[in-house]
Amino acid sequence: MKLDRRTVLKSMGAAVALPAIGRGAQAQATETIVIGGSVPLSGRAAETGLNVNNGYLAAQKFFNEQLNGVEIDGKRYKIDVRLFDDASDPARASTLIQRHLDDGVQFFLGSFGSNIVLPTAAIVERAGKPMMQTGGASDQIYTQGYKNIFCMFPRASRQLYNTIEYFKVLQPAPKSIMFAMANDAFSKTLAEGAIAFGKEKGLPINDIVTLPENITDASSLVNQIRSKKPDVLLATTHDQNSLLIARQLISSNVDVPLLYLSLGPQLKSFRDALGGYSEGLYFQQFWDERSPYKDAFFGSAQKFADYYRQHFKRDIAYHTASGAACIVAYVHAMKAANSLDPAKVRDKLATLDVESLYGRIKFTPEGDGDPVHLGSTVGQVLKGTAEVVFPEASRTAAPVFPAPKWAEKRRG
Amino acid sequence: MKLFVSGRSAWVSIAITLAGALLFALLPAFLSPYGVRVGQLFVLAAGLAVAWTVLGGFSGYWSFGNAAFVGTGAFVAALIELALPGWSPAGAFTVALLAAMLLNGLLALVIAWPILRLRGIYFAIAMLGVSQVCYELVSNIDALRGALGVNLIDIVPKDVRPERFYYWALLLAATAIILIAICVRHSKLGYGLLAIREDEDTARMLGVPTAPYKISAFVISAMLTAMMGVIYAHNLGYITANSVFRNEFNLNVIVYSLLGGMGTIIGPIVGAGVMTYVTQVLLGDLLDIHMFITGLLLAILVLAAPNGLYGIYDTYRLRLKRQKREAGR
Repeated sequence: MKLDRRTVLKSMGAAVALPAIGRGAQAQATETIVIGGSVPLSGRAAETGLNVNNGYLAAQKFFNEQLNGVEIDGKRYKIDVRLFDDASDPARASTLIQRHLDDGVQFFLGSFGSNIVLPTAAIVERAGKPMMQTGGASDQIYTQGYKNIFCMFPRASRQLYNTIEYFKVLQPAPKSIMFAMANDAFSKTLAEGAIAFGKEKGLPINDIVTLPENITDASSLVNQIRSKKPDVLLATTHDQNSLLIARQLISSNVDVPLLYLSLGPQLKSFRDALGGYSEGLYFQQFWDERSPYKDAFFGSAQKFADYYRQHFKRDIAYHTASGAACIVAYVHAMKAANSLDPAKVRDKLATLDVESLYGRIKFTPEGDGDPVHLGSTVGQVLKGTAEVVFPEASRTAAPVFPAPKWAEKRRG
Repeated sequence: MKLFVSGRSAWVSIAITLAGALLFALLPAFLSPYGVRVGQLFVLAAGLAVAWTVLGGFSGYWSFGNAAFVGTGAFVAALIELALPGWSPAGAFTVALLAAMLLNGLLALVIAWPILRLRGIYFAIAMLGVSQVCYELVSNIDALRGALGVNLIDIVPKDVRPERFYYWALLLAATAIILIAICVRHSKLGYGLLAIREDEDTARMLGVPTAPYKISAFVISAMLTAMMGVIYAHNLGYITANSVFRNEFNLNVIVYSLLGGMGTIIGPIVGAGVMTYVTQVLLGDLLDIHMFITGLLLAILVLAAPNGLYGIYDTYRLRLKRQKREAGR
């Protein structure tokens, strides 16, 4: 084939026109519920974005292929999840959400990262369409007065409410609680929210220690624990910092009856690194497929995990489950509204209270997840495995308190 | 006025810019809201790329760190607005915008002295470092709120659609940037910068005050970039350090110039237009491979047209001229 200028121009013209023609054809499709959104499949937030994306797609696949769609008001609909890659760019995400709105999309799924979710939420809110999301936990999303934005997580400052509730029911009751927080935004918000709630609940929070963002030496914390002897140490730290704290406590033989390291012990690599010393450590756990959650569509959390593994190669993560739960929440709300009117579906989302593969879906009046039902659960390493010990509804094993001392673990 | 602009071509460029801006200002009446948002991205990209050109294109000092000025501008404005709670939105925005531009000019002035002693790739990498340092500072100093994020005031008038308002605001800023770039290009400063780009040592030997010229261009470029950063941040409504200290801002402005034509004013605008259309519209549906195709297209274009699209046009124009001349003999 001769490649002259005219041929090249014709090909380019066709390439330019094709996407527009494709969009027109999609818009004509009937009997589908289109749920639009953007997710970061590339850029800074891609790693978690891919988990969220797979959760959305797994639920779509399940509803369409296993249940032959969903029935609303006597009609059967397939779910059509239309997602764009926002490349972790809030401006691109806003443009793509606008495109969905112009195409007549009525329901939305959120991206990952509060800096992307908030600008897109503003557009969706203005248009009066609901958005279910699992990637924006910043408190600032829920103080804007939005009525249409719902999140599968509580806002950041409320994510440790279950942990505080657990401390409240501990027997014997702790006489002294120490908080140690790393100097990064997430760790600080988490700890400050927990401290405020703990004080409100009357817990004896006596000491608050701020640690550098990247800890190279935890001796000052170890010395404070040695002198003050708290019953509980709650450290909001990332896994490497948590590992350092645990190792220095072990080498100094300083015991705490309840050592809670927010991030770290849930990872197998962390438990392997500490060996038998990881036994009894507490941590923050968002979701466990073994939790006894019943789901009206998937059956249970475990069945969702099994279905996901059958059809997707990427490892399952809690964001995958919460992403799928967003679609489940939509279907519940649509069925309850018996309508696809976005305003009616929004109203049903606001009052939703159902058990799902991800736990009990219930939102606060501001739209973030209920801190007790959708907040992180309390995990503990028991016999080398990460178990959920609180609340009861999510429990996979009974808690051990006080945890065994380092010396006992050393003896095996 | 001769102090700033000289020559007929400068006035022609100014007239074309103003006419073009007027035409673009009318576009929202014919575009869907999505089209207007794509227009915003184009105008933002064009404005940032021309602001970069004032230093990188004219003097050949390629900065790989202009995101520092986008981000610093955005955060300075946001923090100043937080400090002015009782003010009207328009008043607080005006003060914040001016302060952000001035502070960025000052920042550029302070770092110019050590950094503009470097040349070529050393300057480029040093600027990348400046951008990274600014990102880390804003992220890690609690008072700057880069990690937690900060809301910006809503400056959109009641009866105006937000996407249209910010399209016009960005267009106004981009037009101002292009006009300033034209003035710089056709002034004594501009000729000095071109001389620096061609051979800095010879330029200095011939009496061009290279250091003050480079610093002036650097400061102007920083202030103009900050102006775009402030409007961009208001358009988002809520920013974290990740929203504004983006490596894409560092790299895309260079890509636009390379694609359109380095060292010209029209080049970055054309480059920004082509790239915005390709990435936002043409490849918007190709979820999995759009980054790959964008990269491939860029590589082909740079190989096929090393002087950018403007270079192709220039070659074609010169060839036509030559053919006419030969036909006339």
